Amino acid sequence: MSRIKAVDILAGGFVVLIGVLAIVESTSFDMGTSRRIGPGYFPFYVGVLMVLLGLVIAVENLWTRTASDFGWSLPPMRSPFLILAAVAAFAVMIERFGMFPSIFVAVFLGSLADTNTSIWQKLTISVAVPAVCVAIFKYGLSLNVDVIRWRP
Amino acid sequence: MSDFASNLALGFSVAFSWQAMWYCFVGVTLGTFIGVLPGIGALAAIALLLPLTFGMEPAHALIMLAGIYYGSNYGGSTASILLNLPGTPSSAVTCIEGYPMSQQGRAGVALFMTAIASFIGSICGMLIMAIFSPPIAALAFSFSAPEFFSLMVLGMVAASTLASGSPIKGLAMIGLGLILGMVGRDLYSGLLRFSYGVDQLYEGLPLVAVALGIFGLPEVIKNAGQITGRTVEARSISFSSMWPTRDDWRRSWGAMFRGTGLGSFFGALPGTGGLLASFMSYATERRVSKDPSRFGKGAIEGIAGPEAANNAAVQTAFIPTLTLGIPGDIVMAIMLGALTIHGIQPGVSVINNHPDLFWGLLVSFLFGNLMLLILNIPLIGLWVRILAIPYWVLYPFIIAFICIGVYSVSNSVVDLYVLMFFGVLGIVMNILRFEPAPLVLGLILGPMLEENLRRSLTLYRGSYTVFLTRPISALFIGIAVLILAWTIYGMFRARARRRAALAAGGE
Repeated sequence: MSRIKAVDILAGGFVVLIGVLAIVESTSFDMGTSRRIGPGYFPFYVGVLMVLLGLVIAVENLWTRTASDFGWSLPPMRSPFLILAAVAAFAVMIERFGMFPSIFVAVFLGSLADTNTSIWQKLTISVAVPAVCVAIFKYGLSLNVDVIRWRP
Repeated sequence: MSDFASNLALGFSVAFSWQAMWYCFVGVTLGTFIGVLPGIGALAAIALLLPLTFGMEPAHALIMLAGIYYGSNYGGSTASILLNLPGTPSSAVTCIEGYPMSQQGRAGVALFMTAIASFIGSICGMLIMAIFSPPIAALAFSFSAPEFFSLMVLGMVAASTLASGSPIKGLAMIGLGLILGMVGRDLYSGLLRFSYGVDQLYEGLPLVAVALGIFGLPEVIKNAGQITGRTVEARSISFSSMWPTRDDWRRSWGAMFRGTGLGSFFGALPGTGGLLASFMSYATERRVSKDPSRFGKGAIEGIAGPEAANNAAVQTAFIPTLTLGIPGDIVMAIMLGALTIHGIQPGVSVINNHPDLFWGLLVSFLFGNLMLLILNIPLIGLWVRILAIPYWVLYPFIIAFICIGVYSVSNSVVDLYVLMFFGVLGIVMNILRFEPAPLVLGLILGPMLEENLRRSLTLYRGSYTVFLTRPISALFIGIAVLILAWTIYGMFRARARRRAALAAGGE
């Protein structure tokens, strides 16, 4: 019965941390009075509420102490990493190289997240997706983005 | 009454214009498509397509976005029944009875009945919306800042505690949403709050980027490389195999109407929606059944009730959204954002200042639902075939659409970094088992909540008692307190039960 659900302790800590951040941020503004509340008033009280809720989340589970599901492990990192990298690639490239190249790179990075497909499948999809996107967004919906540009 | 007739006439004239019908058709078709595909929900889809509506008339934009929403609810059950994979969250409960039916070779009947139940739920929800919205809007005219504040508090409490997951974690996510809602310029002082040096955030966080970051990216991340090798037998669904037996009909009627009632209620309650309604309906059907042992093995009333419930809820969710400016559920929260972008200030005046929008939208539901009936019964084979698209083909498109969708809102790269930030937050929340829905609700309600708090306190000389001395406000606060008390009671009971179970287990 001494095992605790680590996930709830972490979750509680996460909420407390956000509450503290809110309180810290609110102190740089005028609190005002309750008759005329200032920009710091609402964030301060929401922050206090968050700290309390975070403590309840952490403590509630210490207090229930169910031995059931410890169930916390880091999920595989491959897919989150690659898909965030895909978005990052798009963000970095879109204004420099235009729609086609940026989606090509983004989709290729993203497609690496699926380990069951062959490299040819990945390359095919990496060409097909930007082609379809250009057709839909540039020619179908006349989105104001260059298909290809060169402003590194 | 003549008012009602002329309103409906106005609605018909708006909704039955060629353009409106076209957008409605596009909306429901896209909605069904998105609903059928597991791994992308209505919320992400609406956030994604929001930028495309910027050039449209507000009424048309709303008709199309709404069509996506209720269309996805029709489509969501298809994957639930055939693959045991819910296409949308609110069709999760349909898996329980739908998949066993499909294994018994009765998939056609299940699909047919979900379409009929969805239709009946939607039409009843629409009628309720038509009848109750004007009086609610009239009543809301007597609301002042304290009433709005209290109603929003009620909505947030209901949304976080009645939904799935831990109620306290739900409340914490509302709080995080409120904080995120403060990002940007404070209207009164003009100061930038919570922007941490990123000046581009002065207008607040970009809603589309937040919604796609927190709902869209984690979904793709979770499913990439995981959903593989599913096969669907498209040929097995012929029209003749879809017709329910007399016994099926007999079991389903009552379920549909009970489901519609539950759905209409929870839909109209701000903050709660179809997901809750469908689970409540399922539980109700189990309870009223003469033979509960049939459940879990393909009881058709366990599909008919929840499907009617979630579709009724989708329609009635528009009541608080359009009459009070308070979102009925999380998708409505995005819809409110859409209204604001189109220059329509959500609130009590929408129904009076923009009757064409309100009644046009309402009448479009009739047209949209009829169209969905056609899309989902005779054309069901088409959607079944779409289920056969492998995920490795699908998800790169979703990634590209998310990137372009976020970027195209205001051609801003900063929005893409916001998307990434919320993608990471979404993953962290997944690991720590926080639900993302209350966060977005808090984010949207936050500015309104602060504004109404400020106004209430200024009007009533800084006294918090105003929330309890004004009767309607006191009623809302009272209900919120009751819900909280009931939740805490439930947590104590669950704890006692766990302890008892542990003791019995001898650990």
